[in-house]
Amino acid sequence: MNIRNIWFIMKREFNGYFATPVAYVFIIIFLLLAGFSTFYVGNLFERGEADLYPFFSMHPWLYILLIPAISMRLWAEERKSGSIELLMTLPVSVFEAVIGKFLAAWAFTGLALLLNFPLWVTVNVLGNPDNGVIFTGFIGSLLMAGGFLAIGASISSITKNQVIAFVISLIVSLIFVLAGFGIVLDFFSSWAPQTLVNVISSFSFLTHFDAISKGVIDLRDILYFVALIAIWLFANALIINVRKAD
Amino acid sequence: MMNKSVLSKTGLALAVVLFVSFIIVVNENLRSFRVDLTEDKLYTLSEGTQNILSGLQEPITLRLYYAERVAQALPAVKSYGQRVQELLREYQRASGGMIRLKIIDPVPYSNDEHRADQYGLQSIPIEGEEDPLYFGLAGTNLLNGLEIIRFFQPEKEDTLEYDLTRLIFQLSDVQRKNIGVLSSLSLDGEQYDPLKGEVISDAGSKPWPVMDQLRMMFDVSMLPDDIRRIPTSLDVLMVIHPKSLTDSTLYAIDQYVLSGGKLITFVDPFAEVDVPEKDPENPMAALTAQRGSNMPELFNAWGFERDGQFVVADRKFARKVDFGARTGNEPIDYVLWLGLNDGSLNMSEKITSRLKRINVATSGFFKQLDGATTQMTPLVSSSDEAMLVDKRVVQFRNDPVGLLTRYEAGTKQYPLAVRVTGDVKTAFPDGAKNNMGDLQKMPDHLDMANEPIDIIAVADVDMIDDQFWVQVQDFYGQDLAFNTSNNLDFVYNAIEDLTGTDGLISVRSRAGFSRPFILVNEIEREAERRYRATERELEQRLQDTEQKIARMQVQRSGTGEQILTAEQQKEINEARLLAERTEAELRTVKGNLRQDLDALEAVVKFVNIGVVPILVGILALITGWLRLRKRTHGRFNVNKTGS
Repeated sequence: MNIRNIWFIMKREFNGYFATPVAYVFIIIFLLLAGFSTFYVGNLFERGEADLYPFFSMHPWLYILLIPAISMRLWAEERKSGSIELLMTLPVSVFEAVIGKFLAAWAFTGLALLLNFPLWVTVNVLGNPDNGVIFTGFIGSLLMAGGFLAIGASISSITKNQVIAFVISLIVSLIFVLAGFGIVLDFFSSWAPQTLVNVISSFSFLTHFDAISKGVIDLRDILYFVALIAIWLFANALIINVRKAD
Repeated sequence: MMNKSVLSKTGLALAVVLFVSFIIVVNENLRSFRVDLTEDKLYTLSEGTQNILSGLQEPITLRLYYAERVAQALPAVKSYGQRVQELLREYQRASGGMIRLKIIDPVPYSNDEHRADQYGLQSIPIEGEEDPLYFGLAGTNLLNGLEIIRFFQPEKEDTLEYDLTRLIFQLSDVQRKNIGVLSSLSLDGEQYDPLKGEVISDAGSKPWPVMDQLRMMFDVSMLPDDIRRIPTSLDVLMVIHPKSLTDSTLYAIDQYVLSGGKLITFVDPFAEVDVPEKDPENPMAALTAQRGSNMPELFNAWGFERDGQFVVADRKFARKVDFGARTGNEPIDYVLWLGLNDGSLNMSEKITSRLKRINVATSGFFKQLDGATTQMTPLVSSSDEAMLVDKRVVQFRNDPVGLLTRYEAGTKQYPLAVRVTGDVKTAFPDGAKNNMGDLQKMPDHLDMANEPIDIIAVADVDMIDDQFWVQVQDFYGQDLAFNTSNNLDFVYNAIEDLTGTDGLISVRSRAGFSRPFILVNEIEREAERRYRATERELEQRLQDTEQKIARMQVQRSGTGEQILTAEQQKEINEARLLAERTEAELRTVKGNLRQDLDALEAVVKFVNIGVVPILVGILALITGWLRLRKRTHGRFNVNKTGS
């Protein structure tokens, strides 16, 4: 695997986002949704607490909706327009292309996340927040976004239809979020052994994201997201390989 | 081609298996490998805990009863369950084998469940689950000592480490400090009279919660308030609300302090907790009853005094209190009840440096005397906007609204709790009067302090009353206590620091109670201040006008004339008009109270929701336009070369 190739793909993809208005529209929608939900659902101002809990607690749900919208076009579009053939003629391996495209999408999401910086400024002006906790909140959110993106990228490589890619990504993402929810676990605990239930809940995005955004960066939570991204990207590359052959 | 697909499928299956097992292995084996980025290091064992753990001489067994299956239905409890288990493992690791940890799932009808019940742990019925939830801890030592945490409430995560460390401290073989308490208040509730064999005070009255809390950590003995000699075995003497102590008792305290005894005293110009008995014969007695306490003889000898006339009002730290109808059923800033935080707690003194909030009520203040040989260090002070209020104003007719309306900010900080150290002389050079009325010295009388004295004085007694530091909620029939301030921690820290033990000082109150929007509170206060000033002015005008109308009407009836002159009529009408207008103005002022805050809220929301999207939108338009221009230029060039 060649880092330079990955970097090349990533740059090309990242710049590609801004060639069309779609990227701007996406960022604007993300910022508006994040802002409105923070203030009107999370009641950041009325709560009177100098932290960003109302902001970060919305992220799993925002990402379920918005990340599939980014990831759906990653491969589905290339397949539909046939540009995937062109990509494959380039002197880059499938893995490099997969990683490069993923990193570009991740960087783009990170940019959108960073553009929420006025919130950070606001709580620091209004009060005296624990900035360490806010920092880990951003890290946790970014890792979680990476997880959603990897899922979406992989699913996008199965189909030529972006809408199908969007819907399936959304459903799979939802499963990964809900795995930590009481109702879902109850369903399992009625027949499955306790260890299995524990395993299922340890696969939930929520469990790991909540842990990180409390202010502690635990190696387990980091490894979870890294491993999750790796496995989905691996699947992504395998699918491309097989489909390329078809 | 077929081969490749099969190969990929196997590869994928293998990868999934690898991933799942990796996560399971990581989750089970990689504990406590983490970076704590919280400001107060909330997730790292504090120095105090580590000291106590490493100092353990005898093993302690901790049994955590936790029904994980049942907790499944409650995500908050489940994640807290994990946190508790991990913290306990951390304790186990740091104790060097002195802590034995057992995690037990009390299956219904098992011996384990029976034992959990015997320990007194709480089981909670969970909706939709057959089995009750156990989530408590029993700690035992070799001497049959037992301490329990009945149930771990996720809401109390803030004090988890403190609760655990305290439990271990209680089970440890550390020599407990002896505390003597001398007070005119019946801090222990019912007083048992050994002669009559019955309880003297009202049936059912319980010890003050502060006494229960002190007994958890120290050996506490109550001293009679006419004691003539303080036992030298005491590590700390606490003198709480000393009302009219006899000279011989004061002399005893004096000699105790001079011989190196440590003292903490709470003296108050007006103790709200000291409610006088109602006397139906003489209702005025309750109003004029002595509710202050002081020890001027001793304080003067130690180079300071507690002012007897004034109490400290402070707009900046005022707590919001709802006085019902008197304040229009709305909470208002009550300038005599203070929630002291940033800037009022001495950050360079160990006792207060980690505290976040001290609550006091109608507190007095201390002054250093000229020519004092001692050094006075403020531990807790008012803000520099404080104002002094005559205590009689509070005693006879407490008017929270009036206090706020007439508030005039000062420029001085008043010390509310101080530590006094230095060399002193006795306040009783000739001893004190004995029963016969003769001056008598103790056999080992001291004229001068053996070593520099070290005492702590607090100008408020109410702060140790539970309503100022704890809030109790019902939790499945059990009392669940949440601390609302660090008052108790202050007392603990003071005792530990005076006795030179680090104890649990660094474990207490690591988490803040909250991190409020300071700016919002300031704006609210400023708006309130302006509103009160205008209100005062307008109300005065309204009153004057109404009086004027009344006067004119009296004049009219006085003269016996039935018909008003046109001039009189006009004047009355004008006055009425003015009164109406004033009332309307008053309403407007009240309506404007939130104006600044609403403006701030609007700005905050706009900046956070709108500004960046608008900027991104503009950027998009500009880049789009540039691109378009470039493209048309390009086409133009192509055309030119083509032609």
